[in-house]
Amino acid sequence: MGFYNGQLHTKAAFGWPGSQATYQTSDGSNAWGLYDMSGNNWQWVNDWYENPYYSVSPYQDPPGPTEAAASLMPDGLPYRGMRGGTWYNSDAGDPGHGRVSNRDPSYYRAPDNPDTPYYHVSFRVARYAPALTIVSAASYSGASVAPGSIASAFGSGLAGGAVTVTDSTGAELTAQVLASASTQINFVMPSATAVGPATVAVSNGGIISSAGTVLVQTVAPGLFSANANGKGVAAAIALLVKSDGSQTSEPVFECGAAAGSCVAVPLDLGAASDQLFLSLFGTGMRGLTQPATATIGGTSVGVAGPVAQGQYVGLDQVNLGPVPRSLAGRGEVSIVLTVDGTAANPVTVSIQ
Amino acid sequence: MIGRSSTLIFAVVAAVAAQAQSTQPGSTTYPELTLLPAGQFQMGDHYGFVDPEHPSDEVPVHTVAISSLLIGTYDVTNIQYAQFLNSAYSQGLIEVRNGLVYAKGGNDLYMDTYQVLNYSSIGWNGSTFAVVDFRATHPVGVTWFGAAAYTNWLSQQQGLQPCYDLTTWQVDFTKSGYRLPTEAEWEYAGRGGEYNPYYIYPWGNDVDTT
Repeated sequence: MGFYNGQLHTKAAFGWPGSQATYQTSDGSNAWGLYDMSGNNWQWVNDWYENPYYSVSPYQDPPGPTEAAASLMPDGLPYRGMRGGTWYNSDAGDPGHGRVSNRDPSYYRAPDNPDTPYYHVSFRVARYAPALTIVSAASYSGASVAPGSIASAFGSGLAGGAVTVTDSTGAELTAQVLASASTQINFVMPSATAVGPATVAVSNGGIISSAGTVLVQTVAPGLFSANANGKGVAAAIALLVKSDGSQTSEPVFECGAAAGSCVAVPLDLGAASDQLFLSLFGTGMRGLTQPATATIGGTSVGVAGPVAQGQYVGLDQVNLGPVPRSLAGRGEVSIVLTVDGTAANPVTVSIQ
Repeated sequence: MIGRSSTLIFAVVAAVAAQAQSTQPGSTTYPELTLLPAGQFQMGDHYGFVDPEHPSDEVPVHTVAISSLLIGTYDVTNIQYAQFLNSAYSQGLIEVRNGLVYAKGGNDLYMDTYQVLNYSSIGWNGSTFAVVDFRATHPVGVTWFGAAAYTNWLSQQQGLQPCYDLTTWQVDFTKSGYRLPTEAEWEYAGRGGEYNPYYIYPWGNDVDTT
């Protein structure tokens, strides 16, 4: 047997008995791309068959009856359930067996008994998809990521994995992997990813090892911090522009040998005629549809961008400034960048 | 989907074989998987059909939530099952008695070989299991025990924790490995995420669509 597609086949072609002339399973696959969910073979399910189970079934992941309701079966023996139905015992006049909701105790089709044929009972495998948490690689937080942005997926067994994104239209897209380790894989959300919920799957050797879902939005702003955790001092460049046009860069942070040891270096606003500009780096911002806004220490500041940085895939750059002189002496202040109404993760700079 | 079409239909086997660049569904070593998103649906019969053999077992229609799941895109095929049998035999996990395959020393039947049931497409020559006819990528016919044992083997092959105790046949849903889908998972998978309207069949309401 086997109907993997929608061509019409007659039973005579297989030498099968039966009254109906034809049986057809549309194009064979359903909306999720699964084949033979009706009309090929019966398929074993894990559950014992128990007629009244629907009245007591729990809401979340019903595990099936704990034991078979043997007393309800004609022969008083327990039976497992089967689904799907075979074309052998289904046709347009009696749609019972191939219906997607049809339940069948194996008593009727294939008792677990060597004297009774079960050659028309098959099965498909299943397992829970191991969870993957997907976030912006810049903010390490947020409920969404943007097409073309750098994302991080956290899970286990991810080293050397390949990343596939299935978007809300069902399109399956291969993502560029930037780096992977056992518990984290960084990748670029494909630019063609449609907005809406997407599934991200990590596979090794063609075998999916884990998967998770994430909401894709046109803009999902995230800013990189110096400690690469989405918090604290910004991974930024400061540029002091003097009235004669000469430029001097200033360090925004300094880091010790240990990971996560970066701290802010107080920025010098320079002479009264000097202007200090900040270049911040992030991701998920290039798709903006209205001008971005920003505040430093609660004071509005000019914004240029964000735009694609150009040198690194997925990286966006935004320039802020001039830094208001009213912030002089404030010490560590927060930068809040808002893109298309969504605030990026706040990062900081220190101003002397 | 041309490469996937009709691969199991005897009359066009030769024509499909010419499409060598396309992997024949079900011919891979391990079952191909499809990732299902988590979600909820109304489980049960939405069309008031009553099966006279077992009436009222698809009601009440009730809301069920299903966790994200990896499920076989196709049924497990004869060639895939034969690989399991050969691997399990070499590990001393199964034995053949009178043409019937059992767990080693056990009495739970996994399947019939072709030698005792000519509907079976898997033969046994005393040392090796092999597909005996053109049905290499057709779904395999096995007992529930044979199906569950395969899922444990597949978990072992892929470094996952097996879900079944092969003596008591209890399932442990907390393990990372493969198992048979629950009845709720099966119907969730079968409906393919289409709830407006709910369909009679996995693809729609008609058997004979054109």
